[in-house]
Amino acid sequence: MRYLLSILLWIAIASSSSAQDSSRVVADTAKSCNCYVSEAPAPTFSESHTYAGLSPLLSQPSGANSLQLDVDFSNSSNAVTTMFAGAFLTQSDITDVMKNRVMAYAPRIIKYEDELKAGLAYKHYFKDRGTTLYLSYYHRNIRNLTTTRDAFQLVFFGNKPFEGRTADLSDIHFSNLMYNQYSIGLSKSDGHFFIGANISFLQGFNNQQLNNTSGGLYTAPYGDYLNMSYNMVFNQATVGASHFFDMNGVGISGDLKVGYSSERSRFTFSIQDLGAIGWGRHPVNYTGDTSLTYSGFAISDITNISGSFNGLKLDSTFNRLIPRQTNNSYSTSLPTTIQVMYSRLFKLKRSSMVLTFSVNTKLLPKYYAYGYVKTSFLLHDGWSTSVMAGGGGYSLFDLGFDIGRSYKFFDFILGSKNLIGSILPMYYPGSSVYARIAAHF
Amino acid sequence: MKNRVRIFTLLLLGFACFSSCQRDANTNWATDIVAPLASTNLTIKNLIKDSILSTNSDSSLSISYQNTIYELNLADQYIHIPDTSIGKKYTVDSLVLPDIHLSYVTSLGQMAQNLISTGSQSLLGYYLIGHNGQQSTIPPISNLPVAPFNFDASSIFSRATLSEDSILLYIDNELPIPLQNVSYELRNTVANTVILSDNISYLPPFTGTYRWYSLPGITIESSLNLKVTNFSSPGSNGNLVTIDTSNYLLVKGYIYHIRVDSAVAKFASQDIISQNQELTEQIGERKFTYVDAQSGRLRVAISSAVKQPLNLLYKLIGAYDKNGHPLTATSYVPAAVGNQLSTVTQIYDLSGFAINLTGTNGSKFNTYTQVINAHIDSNGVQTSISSTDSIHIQYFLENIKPRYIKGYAGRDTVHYAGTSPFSISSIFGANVANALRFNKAKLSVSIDNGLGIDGQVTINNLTCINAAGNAVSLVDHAASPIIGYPLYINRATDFPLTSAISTFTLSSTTSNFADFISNLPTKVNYDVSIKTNPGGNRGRYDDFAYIDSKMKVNLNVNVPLSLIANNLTLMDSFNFTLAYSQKDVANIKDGTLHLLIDNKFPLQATVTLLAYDAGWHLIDTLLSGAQVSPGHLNSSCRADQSVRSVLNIPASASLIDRIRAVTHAVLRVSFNTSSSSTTCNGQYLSIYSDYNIAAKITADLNYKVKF
Repeated sequence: MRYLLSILLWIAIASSSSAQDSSRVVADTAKSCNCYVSEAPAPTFSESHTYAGLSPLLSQPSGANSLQLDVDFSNSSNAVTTMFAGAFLTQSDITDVMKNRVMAYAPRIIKYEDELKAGLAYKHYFKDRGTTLYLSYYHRNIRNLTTTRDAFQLVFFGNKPFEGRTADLSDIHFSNLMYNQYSIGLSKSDGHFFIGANISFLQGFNNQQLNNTSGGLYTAPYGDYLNMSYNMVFNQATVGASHFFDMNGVGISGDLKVGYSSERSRFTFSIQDLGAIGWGRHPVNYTGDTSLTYSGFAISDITNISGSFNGLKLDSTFNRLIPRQTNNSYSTSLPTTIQVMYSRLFKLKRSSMVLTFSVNTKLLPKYYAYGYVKTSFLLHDGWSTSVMAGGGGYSLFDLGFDIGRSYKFFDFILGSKNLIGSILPMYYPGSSVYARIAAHF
Repeated sequence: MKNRVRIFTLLLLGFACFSSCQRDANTNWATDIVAPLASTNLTIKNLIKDSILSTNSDSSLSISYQNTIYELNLADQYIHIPDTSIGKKYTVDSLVLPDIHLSYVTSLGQMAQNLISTGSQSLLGYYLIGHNGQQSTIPPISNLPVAPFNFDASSIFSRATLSEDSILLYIDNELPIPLQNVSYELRNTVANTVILSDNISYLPPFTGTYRWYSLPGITIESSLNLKVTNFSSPGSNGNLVTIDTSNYLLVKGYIYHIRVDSAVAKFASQDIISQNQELTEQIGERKFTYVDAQSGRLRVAISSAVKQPLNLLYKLIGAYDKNGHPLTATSYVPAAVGNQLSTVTQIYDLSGFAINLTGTNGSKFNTYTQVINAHIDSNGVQTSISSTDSIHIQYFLENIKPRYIKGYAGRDTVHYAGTSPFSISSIFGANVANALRFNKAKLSVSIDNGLGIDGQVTINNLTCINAAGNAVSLVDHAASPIIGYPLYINRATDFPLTSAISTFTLSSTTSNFADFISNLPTKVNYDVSIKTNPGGNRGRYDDFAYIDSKMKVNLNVNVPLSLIANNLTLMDSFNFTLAYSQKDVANIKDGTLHLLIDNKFPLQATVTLLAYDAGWHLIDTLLSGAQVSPGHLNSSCRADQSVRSVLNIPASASLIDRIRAVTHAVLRVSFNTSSSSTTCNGQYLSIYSDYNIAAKITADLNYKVKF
């Protein structure tokens, strides 16, 4: 039954993955006209697989009103294979093969992030003012992790591989952020310059974040003793399960995009998810800076050990390691994305091609920068497709593909930013699937 | 428009579908966990009580084990005072009546009137009256009658039978002429019986005389009649004398010290019984001079036939409480009514009283001296009391538990045989004889005499028995053996009490004590005779004993821990569960348990660990014959460093599954002193204070993590 549920979940994710880029531009004629276009939709191209679809505001409407459903799931890692991540996220068995594959990739620091974004967006275009109103609801689930290879090995292989040595448990950062985002925004374009901004109310319902700056676990041969040290802060929005609409945290975020378009080029600069959520309803904190040696349950009198073993239990053994607990409010910064992008339109014989270069960074530990190149083909029969190649951030190398179709009143796009990990989940880290269905009326 | 609505509906449904996805299972994966489970440190102090362990100057250890194999509470036996009662019938032996005073006076004028009335001597009567105040001669007078004097004592008594009395009569002649043949008598008025009668032949003028009478057995009435029945006078023999009619003849009577056998009288307040008595108890041969009562009571039961209320006073002479107050018991006894005896019972606590038992003169033994006094108060009512009336008083000295006695405790011989635990360590209990042999073990018998009584102890037999039932009797071939021969022991001294400890050492060279102790006994059978005052009564009466005085027979064993172990087996069972919760156990797939033993003892061990379920059915043999290496021995056969042994207990999946049912484990360790050192093999190896075994159990488990 669990297996079946896992399959269904994957199907659900695959069938509803968000559009990587929901923006649509009129490739040729509509380049400076933000008016309603009654003819068949122009060819589309994905503008940014990293943030597109997260904010439909950044695209321009092709009708007076549009309603779109976006589902986007992606995970990126420099070591964690898709199958491993899937097993972990879908509560499935993690086999030794999965673990060994991760270890084969794993550098000293393992990075992982995933995000699920799904929701509805409504846009209305005021053609007399050249302004677009934007309303949306999105569910966001953002996880990221950086950890040492030793920590990964300790957790998933146990401490036996570390007999006689110390497992490095420093530089471990983990965050799981779940919230509902309610946004309103405006954008305006004069045909060349455009600017859009929105503001969001964030209803946080779950969060865990762990930061362990230093630490280690030494395992003596035969498990003679364990010596553990850590310096950690663990915050939790609430204890136990939280409901979808619980308001355990409240926050605000904003998005901003500015750009300039010419007949064949477009340059944009955007900041997304700049904000934070404060968790103050049922917060639980664990902090500790401890070094301790555990040598087992001490039996004071070996000649009278009846009863001594009665109290021996593994969970109590490790209860000693739990740091102190508090209930202080805390806040979580959103993983803000800052991106610059340049697109160039090339007219071909029977179609158009858009070549896009993009570099972005996220405010995540050890994220640095991610860059990609994307080529989109805008076909005259309403179909469009694109391929992309990227690397950096928490990823190794991404090879993406999507396909879309525009009809009179709606369009859709289905794609993946990481085909390798999606098609060979056992062997490659990262995966992505996104889908968008939009209606124009 | 229809299309737009349809599309919108589809989008909503798709979103709802996605949002409803939930996860409820656990991620799980297999890990290899290596962790310590339990650790302990075993020193010799864990095996042998610290109190009996001593460290020698070279850090080697010795066992100094003392065990009281027999403890005799001689005090409880020898200063036991049996209950006794003192009962006696007391009669009214000192019933007295008030003194009676009688007085009879007749003047010369009255005599003249009597003479006138007689007719025959009327002239003389007139003469005397006529010459009143004149110098004149008085002629002889004969048979001068005198009127009787009646004394009424009915207000005091109605009738009394005298047992003892004194009657004094004083006759005073205040006439100017001598008197001759003065006859007088005392009669009961009603019965007209003569109580006494007498005659005075001559009484000069102006002189008086006394007469004493004792009349036991005479019954007197309350109305007495004293009468001068007759007297005469020779007159003045022609000499002139002054005739004064106021001159008189006086007769005074005093009846005093009136003790009566019986009387119906208003008795004055008086002691009717007052006795001082001694009561000597026979307590075998024992002669006590003093007893300090820790507890006990005096019960007084009184029955009285006396028809008047009594106040009884009982005193135990020489008995004082801790505040110096004498032992005095008072009792009120109501008057007997008719033939019905009056009875009273009273109880007095004797706790804390010290009692002298030497009698009135201080030279007796076991003797209580008591005073009994019965007192009646005057109540103004005539009561019939007879000297035959009795009071029966029974004094019970009960449950006297002396705290201390002194005197001569007597000669007794008591014989005791029994069994006493005897084990230098309980962990050796399961071993056969000679599994552990000690070098240079010593034994002494110390007798701790807490009584102030000379004694003699004979240990007739001492046999040790080990857990397997093997018995070894102690044999002593010394010139002055301590087994089978009387051992004279000194007496304790008092103030303060100091026990006398007599120690008798058993030489291992002349005895089989090495075999005795190598038997690893768990108990000893003893046969002991104890004789007190073997020299009899020396006449000093200075034996003493306290209630908690004891005589102990102790076995003192001194065993240097220099030993040879030959399959010395220690076995213990304990409750055991691999993990606390079923969840923990269920997550264990397989693995290995490591028993890490760092052994510094010069003992090689073979370990067997058996696992049982709740019904003590064998589940598995976790360890069988696992070897633990001894500590490393230097050239002096002393362990200078620990040696680690790792015992692995493979825990397959099937074993893990079976181990879930394990609730008990039995650990059996067999020790030998064999080592890799050829120099030390076969030698007695000393155990030093720094020897220890550090043991730890660790787990190397394939553990399924569920997250």
